[in-house]
Amino acid sequence: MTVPELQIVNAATTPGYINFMTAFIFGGAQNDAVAELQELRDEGDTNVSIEGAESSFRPNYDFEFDLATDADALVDRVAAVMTYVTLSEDSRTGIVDAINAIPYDPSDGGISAANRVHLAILMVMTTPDYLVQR
Amino acid sequence: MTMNRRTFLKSSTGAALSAASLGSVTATLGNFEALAADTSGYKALVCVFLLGGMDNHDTVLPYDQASYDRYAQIRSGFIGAYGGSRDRANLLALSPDNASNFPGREFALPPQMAGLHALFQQGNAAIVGNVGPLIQPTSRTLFEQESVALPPRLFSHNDQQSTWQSSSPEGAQFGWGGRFADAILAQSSGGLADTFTNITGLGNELFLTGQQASPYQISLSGAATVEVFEALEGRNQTLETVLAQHFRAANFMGTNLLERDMAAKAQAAFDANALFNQASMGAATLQTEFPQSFLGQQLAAVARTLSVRDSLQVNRQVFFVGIGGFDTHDAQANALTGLHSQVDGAITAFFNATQELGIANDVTLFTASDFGRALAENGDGTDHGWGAHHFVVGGDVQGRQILGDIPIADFGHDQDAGNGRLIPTTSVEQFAAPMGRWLGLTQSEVTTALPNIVNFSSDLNTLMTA
Repeated sequence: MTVPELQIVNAATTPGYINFMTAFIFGGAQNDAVAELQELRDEGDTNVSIEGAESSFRPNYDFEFDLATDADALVDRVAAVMTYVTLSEDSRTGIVDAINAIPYDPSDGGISAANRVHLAILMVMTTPDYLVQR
Repeated sequence: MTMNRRTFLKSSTGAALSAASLGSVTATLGNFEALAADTSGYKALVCVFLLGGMDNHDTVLPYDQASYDRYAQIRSGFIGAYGGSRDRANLLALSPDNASNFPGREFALPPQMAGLHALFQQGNAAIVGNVGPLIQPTSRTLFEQESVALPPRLFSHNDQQSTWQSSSPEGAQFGWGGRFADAILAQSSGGLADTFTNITGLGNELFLTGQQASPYQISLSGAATVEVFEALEGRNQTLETVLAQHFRAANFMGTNLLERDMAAKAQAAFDANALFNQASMGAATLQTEFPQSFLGQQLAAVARTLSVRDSLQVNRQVFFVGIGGFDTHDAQANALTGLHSQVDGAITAFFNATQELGIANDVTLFTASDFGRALAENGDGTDHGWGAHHFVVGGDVQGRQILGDIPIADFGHDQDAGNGRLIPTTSVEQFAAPMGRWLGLTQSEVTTALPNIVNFSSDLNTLMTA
């Protein structure tokens, strides 16, 4: 350890961060939040619109979905957006391997495409390259 | 002639050795022994933190008729709401060996604390009365004249939780459990001890953080897990392998120093979790049944961890567990009785488990809380206080004693900061010091860990038997 910031990086927070980002990137956290908002609306406790909440908190990955069939292109795109093309080659290789390990099925209603995109983003956001802001 | 042990012994038994030089030899050996913490055998300290501020007045109750009557009068607004469990006839009378310290006075625990009552009566639990954060001895006069240094931001939850754990308010870096562990690790660092000496069942706790020591967090079922793997359910082994290497930053070759540190931390984290889970496979199946409550399950996880202490390669450990809900501004009669039951069931089961594991003399558990509460009621609850009464449980505890003081349940006495909020008679550091020595720390290491202890002429040196 060379810097105090890493005092909070430990055996619990490391998986904890991965799980937290998983919930947001794969959309589970937003689904829960929208369900709660719907309950509040049903009980008349708020008039915040569901559409408004969705558009505020759910990231739009449409551009990335179009690249889902090409692991290299997908990872390059995510690396460009999230690391300003500073993703190291070894990190990139591992992510491309992981994406290619998810079989793409054009007839599954977008499930495999979404898994590829979500996992690419999660993996870039859990690299040391991304985690240390330079 | 070269000086070896034989010639040293020979010369030291000679008549030429004067009494003065014997004295200096003894003093030198004494100093030598006092240089380092004793880390032989195994010992563990367990902090049970009761978040919110447990009402001391409603935990150790006055039992002699006159004191009880006055207490019942002061708390008349909601004592009826207990459904009889605060009736004098239903309280569990304590018979401390040091009753003569409290002439004419008797004390009792609530009926929800039958297990702790039994542990006290058997000599395996002590009560420390009116303990709380202090910087130096503080009387009511000094307090009212504001002529004494006081812990900053008294009566504030987050600050007093922090002060109990670290002697400083919110923003503190190191807790005394962490500092105790630092002294231990100075003797036995390296290997797994660096990772598994301090363990929390609750969070990334200040109490367990030292210069070197940091808390390893366990969940009720073991080490923290990555949910993606659970979702994959073993259906894509190739992906799992690549992901595991990725999260562990196993193939990271970057040269940036901070990124390398980050990668090393990720590797250490996943390796620690794997080691912990591997060691946990050898955990004892305990006959002792723990309650299903959150505290019960946290202490069950601690007991399982104790059972694999050899696999974790530790000979000293400090644990932190806790529950919330003690901030009983309202509905105290309902809330506190349930919490007392939970604390009682969990701690009693934990003590039984340490007996089952054959280490009851090697494990000491103590309770702590933000603060005590005011004696005055606010209708159906109580407000924030300061000093409080706490339990210390274990085979090496000089049990069946009420240490410290239990000020009378009334107003206007010398420890009353107003409304029956108690000015502590024993500081948290005086309470902590004997547990530090029991753990093996030298007096100088205890003094380093507890920055204000030098302001007090003594500590609770009769708390522990050894």
